[in-house]
Amino acid sequence: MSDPVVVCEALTHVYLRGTPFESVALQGVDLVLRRGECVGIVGPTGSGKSTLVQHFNGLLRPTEGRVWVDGVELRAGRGILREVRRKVGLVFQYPEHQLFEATVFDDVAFGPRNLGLEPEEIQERVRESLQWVGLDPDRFGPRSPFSLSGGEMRRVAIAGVLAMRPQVLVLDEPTAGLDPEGRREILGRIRDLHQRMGLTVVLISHSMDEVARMCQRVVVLHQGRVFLDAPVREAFGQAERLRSIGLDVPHVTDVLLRLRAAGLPVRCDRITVQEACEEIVRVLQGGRKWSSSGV
Amino acid sequence: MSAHEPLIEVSHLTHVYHPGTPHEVRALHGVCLTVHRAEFLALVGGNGSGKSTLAKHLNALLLPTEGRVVVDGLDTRDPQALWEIRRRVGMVFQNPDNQIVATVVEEDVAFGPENVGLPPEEIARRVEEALQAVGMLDYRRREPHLLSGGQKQRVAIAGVLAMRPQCIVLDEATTMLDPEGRQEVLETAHRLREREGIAVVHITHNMEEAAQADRVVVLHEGRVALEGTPQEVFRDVRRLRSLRLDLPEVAELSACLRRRGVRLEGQPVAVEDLVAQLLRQSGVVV
Repeated sequence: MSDPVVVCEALTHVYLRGTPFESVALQGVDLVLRRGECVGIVGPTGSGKSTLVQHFNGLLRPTEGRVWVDGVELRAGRGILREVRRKVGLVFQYPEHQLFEATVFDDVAFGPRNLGLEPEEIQERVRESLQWVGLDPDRFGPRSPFSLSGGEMRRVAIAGVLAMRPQVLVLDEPTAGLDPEGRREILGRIRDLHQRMGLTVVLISHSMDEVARMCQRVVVLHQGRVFLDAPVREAFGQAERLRSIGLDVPHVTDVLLRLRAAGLPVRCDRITVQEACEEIVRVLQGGRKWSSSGV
Repeated sequence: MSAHEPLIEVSHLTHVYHPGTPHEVRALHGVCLTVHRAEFLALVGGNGSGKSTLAKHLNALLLPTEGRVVVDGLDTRDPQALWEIRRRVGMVFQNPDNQIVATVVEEDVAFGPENVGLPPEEIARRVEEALQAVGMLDYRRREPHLLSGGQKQRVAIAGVLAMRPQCIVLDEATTMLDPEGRQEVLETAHRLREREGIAVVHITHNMEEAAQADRVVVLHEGRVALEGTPQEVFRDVRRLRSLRLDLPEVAELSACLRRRGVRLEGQPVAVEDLVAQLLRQSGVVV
């Protein structure tokens, strides 16, 4: 197993502590993210997902507990936040709302310029980052970000984070509001960054279908605690537990679970369309005599 | 009032933004569409296909450049009819932060009914029902800015429900909700359709949600590209992808099963339909 890159230990976060509006957003969260993983974070609205990931790069400080990034503990006043923010890139919801420069190039260059890098280095990072998100730097660089489509703008915003060359890329609902084509494009790019560039990816998503397609592991938050932390196949086999907190399972898993409940011996740890299709065909074509070990 | 009776008739609607300027954009080209009473209509299409422009014509937020839109017999170009049209057709938008005006949840929901001068008891009753319908009754005295995005959106929907509209237009109103929130909103909309005969026009990028509609209309580059039941529309994956769309997961699974020789009637898009057909084939009695 690869080494840990983000570690949370007994992490508790309380907003507006000591006021009538005090609210406990995270309670005793223990979590280890390993290098090169793609982890989905899911949970109902208000379960603490966004609060949690804002601890990964020091945007929020623990009320109690500790957080380490790449072996360094995040504490106040130690001047390490700058370093940590380069290592963990956070892409917020609707990141295109934060575009502001006159050209795509300048927007992506904003972070590297703040680092005080040489112009050649900035140029190289911008070109590289735009290529990573599938935008031709020569074509898109000089354009105004506001002349682009929603999906393109979002990719520019992600390029801006990538230009900091993070080790961990955290994306909060990266496909929200995009049409299916824009969604396919973004997810394809994220998959490339994970598989080809070896980036550690944390994907916050409300779409179980998306998590099933993208991630190997899923962390389920509920009322500020880790409700479930398991490989995706295992997690989505536990439909009743997930449904008990208002979450769903991927649609194809739902089909398999219903078939099984009605007496068809299908395995339910099949989470993509292709796998589910093969499994159903196998059982319909007389695989029923096979014993089934799946949940 | 019967279903299939037209409620909104859109005829040869063309909309041009900034006409006669260098920024002129033709967003809709001769769109014809009928929204029937008590129907659940999904309006889908890629970014820039004209969905929101069309939606804003349904309650006269935008007026046709050419063609016309008639709501329950009222022409949206008639300034006298504006108020009546907006009472009949309520809109819920994507971003809840732009829709909440009051500092307490129940006051926000009461905003519309108060504006039309309803008696206080009636307002209180409507506010309670509307908040109940969206699962937010426990939050009635909360401050909206302390709610999550999903909760705010449900309050915005309650605000529209409190006006007892004939048609609710959900302009990507479920986009930011969690699965439970989405389902609650959709169930609420389906329930209002069934019990009160309210038509629902649901604009969404979520193909699963569109698959739950009675009818799906696909816009592409300002024109109606496809129209039919979910089964009819979610059939040809290549065609849909050329329209920047996709099959719902269940339709994709059905298509895959058909390719592998499993005989299915049509191409099921609903989990229940597919499961029932597969169980019949396998010999398991349903």
